[in-house]
Amino acid sequence: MKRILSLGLLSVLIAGQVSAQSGKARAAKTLVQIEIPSSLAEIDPMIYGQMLENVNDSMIYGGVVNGKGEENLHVTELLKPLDIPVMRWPGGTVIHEYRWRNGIGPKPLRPVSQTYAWKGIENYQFGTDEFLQWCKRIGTVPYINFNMANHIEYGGTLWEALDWIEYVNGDSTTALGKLRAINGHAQPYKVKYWCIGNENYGPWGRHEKETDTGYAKRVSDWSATIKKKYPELSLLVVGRFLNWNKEVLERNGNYIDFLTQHYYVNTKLKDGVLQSATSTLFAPAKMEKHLSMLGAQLEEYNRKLNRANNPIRLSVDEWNNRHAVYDGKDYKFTRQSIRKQFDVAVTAGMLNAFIRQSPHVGMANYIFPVNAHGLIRTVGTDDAYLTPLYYLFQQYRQKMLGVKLDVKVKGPGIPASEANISIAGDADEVVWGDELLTFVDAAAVQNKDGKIYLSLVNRSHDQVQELEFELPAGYAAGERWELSHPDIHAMNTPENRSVILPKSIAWKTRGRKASISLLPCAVVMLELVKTN
Amino acid sequence: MKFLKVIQTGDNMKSMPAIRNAYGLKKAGMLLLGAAFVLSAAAQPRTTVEIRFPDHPVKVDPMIYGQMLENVNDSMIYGGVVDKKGNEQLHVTPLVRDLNIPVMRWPGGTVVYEYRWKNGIGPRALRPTVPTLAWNGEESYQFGTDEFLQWCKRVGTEPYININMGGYNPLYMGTLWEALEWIEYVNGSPESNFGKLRAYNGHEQPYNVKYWCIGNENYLPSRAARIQDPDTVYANRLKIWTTAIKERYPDLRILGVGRSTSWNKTVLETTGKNLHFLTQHYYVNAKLKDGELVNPSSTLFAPAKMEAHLKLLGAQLEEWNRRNGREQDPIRLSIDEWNDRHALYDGNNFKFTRQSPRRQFDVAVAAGMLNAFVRQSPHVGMANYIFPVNAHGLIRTVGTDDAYLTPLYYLFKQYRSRMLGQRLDLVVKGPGLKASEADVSIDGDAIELNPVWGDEHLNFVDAAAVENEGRIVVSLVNRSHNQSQLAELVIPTGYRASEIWELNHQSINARNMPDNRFEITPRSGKLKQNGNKATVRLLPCALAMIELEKIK
Repeated sequence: MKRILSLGLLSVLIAGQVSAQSGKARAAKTLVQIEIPSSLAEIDPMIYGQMLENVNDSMIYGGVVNGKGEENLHVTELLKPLDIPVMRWPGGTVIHEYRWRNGIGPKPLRPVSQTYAWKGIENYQFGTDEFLQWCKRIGTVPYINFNMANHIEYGGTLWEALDWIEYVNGDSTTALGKLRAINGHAQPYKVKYWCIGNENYGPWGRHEKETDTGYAKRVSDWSATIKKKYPELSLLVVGRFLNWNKEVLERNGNYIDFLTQHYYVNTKLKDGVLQSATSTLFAPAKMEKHLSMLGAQLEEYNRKLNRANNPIRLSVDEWNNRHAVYDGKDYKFTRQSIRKQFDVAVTAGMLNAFIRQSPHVGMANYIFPVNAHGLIRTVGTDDAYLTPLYYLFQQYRQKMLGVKLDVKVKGPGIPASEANISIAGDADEVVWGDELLTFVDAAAVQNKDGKIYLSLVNRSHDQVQELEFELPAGYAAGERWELSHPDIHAMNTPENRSVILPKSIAWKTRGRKASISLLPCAVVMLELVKTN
Repeated sequence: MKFLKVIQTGDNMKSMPAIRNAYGLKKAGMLLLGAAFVLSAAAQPRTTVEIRFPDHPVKVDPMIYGQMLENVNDSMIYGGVVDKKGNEQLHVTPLVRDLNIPVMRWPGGTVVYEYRWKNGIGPRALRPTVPTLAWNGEESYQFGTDEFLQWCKRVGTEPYININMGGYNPLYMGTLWEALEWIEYVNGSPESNFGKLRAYNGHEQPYNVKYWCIGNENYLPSRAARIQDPDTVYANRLKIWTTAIKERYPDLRILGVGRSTSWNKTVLETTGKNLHFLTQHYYVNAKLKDGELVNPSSTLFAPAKMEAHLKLLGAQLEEWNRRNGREQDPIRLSIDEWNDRHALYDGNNFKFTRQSPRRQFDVAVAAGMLNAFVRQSPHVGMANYIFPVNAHGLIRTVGTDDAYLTPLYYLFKQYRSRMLGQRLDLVVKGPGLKASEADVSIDGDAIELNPVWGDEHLNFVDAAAVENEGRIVVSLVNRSHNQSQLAELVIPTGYRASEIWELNHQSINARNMPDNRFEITPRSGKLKQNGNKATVRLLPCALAMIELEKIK
């Protein structure tokens, strides 16, 4: 890697001829240029994280476990190969009413309660020990979210949080560590990531809207107390807009490690067809602009707080493409809409943004791995199949690691202001100018072994994009991995599970030049292998 | 221990003929000696006591003779009712049982702000030990909810649980969900979420605990785990809590924190419909220097100031109950913490301690307080003395297998068995002093009287009376620390003198000690009648309870 660095600017071609003429028949060509940046930013694998929440859509119960909280073994086997780096739990909005104490000890004794947030049931059969044991079995790092709601009946308290940490991490001489040991788990779990609150700026679930200063003050009681008692923990607190984050950073800068951000792309489907396609497909760009604003702010605080070597970062710990399906009258949000080819483009666009916004983005958690927008969908009680997003996450998790490379993309696109982007969550404060958003979105990394991976996404819903480029000196074409389908609405279903599958082929070059075409909403990942 | 064994087998003091009083005479002899004093004394101030039968009978609630437990770090719970491991002290239990305590408050008090009920259930070995901020001690949670409730059954009392509800203190504050879960654990059916857990812990049957208080002295400045609440803040939170609780458990009797008339007004107006009691706390202050009471009238007349305050609050409640159609189910007052606090001079300052055994003057104070509760019935519907065992206690333990009784033990037992039934009104005329001259010192809720209380005449002799199953019982207390008083009771037509029960000592500072346990013990005997009068001579700080029986 250092050898590559010494080359200085690595300029890889790609000259395309940009046609002045646009049109379906003959799309203009896109030029992509990869550069080694002057300072190398490491990509944190945690950006490929996932989250579990009992959202009443067979996510936990009926997803990773059955109704009795017993592991769905056929699902576990599918999760293992995803090598998920981090897993957030138990929420989400439902956290505002979550009582960890109900989810430990003998299972028949655990209470059953209604969930206000999602109008379902929480029977606490999948509790703290079950979650943490499950994390071990699928090989992921657990990340626990505290209830810090302000609801007079359901709100969580700091003492409750401290008890939870002791239960999870305390050795068996501590009061609650002893309880954990009695419950069958002598060894502390050493959970590092703990988040305080969830979207406290909003009136959702068992929580009333809090002001930035209100939350910042309240959370400082928590973050200071927890960090002083457990300095080894990595604390996450709720982020939102620039002003909110400023208030939080001012009062918590010495104690926290992440600000959490949530982004939900909105999709409207009518008769199975994506409506206002650019609204959805270009949504990651708006999130990215917001992340770059927040990242710049963090950089300044990290400098001010003398935390350059231990920076506060962003955790995009809820993100997704939400489908709203037209029911003849309204578009209704549902978690039962299976992931389609266009979701591949959205998801890859989000992941590319996280890569480009590294190292400010240090974690991200897709909701959810199983069912309910999931990568995996269960069928009955003993069967499951994979959506295209499963393949996408697996590929990114394996390949898109290492240091980030800069990629310059020139080609056809649309002005941001015309994309009419729809993304709910923290990006609302972004004001667009007239920047051009190219149809082709690209991100590139260099692995530890020197390989370069270039991920290319076609954000056009109806135009094939043509690219031409040239391999850098010392590199040869490796594998070409592709996840595409001629129909952007295609999906895998229980009956037909192989409609969208990744294809890996060797790609061809003409000398050092290559050209590639991207179907609408296709993702192509090119591998460049060192020749020397 | 010999003495204790007698107590355990007999059911009252009369079964202990072998016990001699301080003068070495049997009890009958002592009465004669008392009479001799009367004859030989110079002209004594004389007080007349006349009974008035009220137009509307008012019942005295036995709950005014209640007690309270709190882990105040003075061997009250651990080392008192139970040992350090939370196991019942079998030599203490029978003594407590014999008191027939009507109601028992627990677990606090100030310590409730840091009390986590869930730490006190389930296998004992798994319960945490934590420091207590309130009293700089520790709570091992070995005596938890089930232990308390089982103990209540064994001593034959009715449990009253106090819920942790403080202002915003993220490290300690109690929460509504915690309260609701506690109620379900205690009262829920074995099928309910937390009733199931209780059954698993060995207690299938719901305890059906009726009395639950929400908060404790929330008006006081922030200290330890407590955060001070303004009245409106407390009242609004109480409304939310009580609404949620009553919605799920409409049969519970809910107590809310009372304070001054204006505090109580706010609480009543905000959430009175959800309440059954307002709680009031009064602490008489006694200062002792070299074992003697300093500035005695400050202490001895203190109950009068509390009573003046109870009257104010009672009138306010009566009005509220009338306006809100609650005459049949009125909100009442629970004096659920009261006591005479001793501060001992250490050469520099008077320092509060719970290690000062109860003395003869405490008899006058305690009887004065109980008389006030009787007179302020039915507005006063509950009261809880702190504490039954050790720490100002009625019973004091010695080592790990022995205990002895303070004079207050006899006093409570006597009131609990006699001062019940219908309250009678009394007209008392006799020597005394002006309220303002008494320089009364009482902490707690009566402070709002400071600028207004002072002109009325306070008799040295304090009296209260009840009619109990055909017998009239009159309690007479001498609040003078240095003058005997002659009390002359006019016996109503149709009644005749029956018995007298006395608890007194030549020295108001006398007390029982581990090595001299019978310095102060009660005596009873026949009450003499002269025409339609019975005359009783009361030593300073003496208590006499006389009984009249109906002529058949």
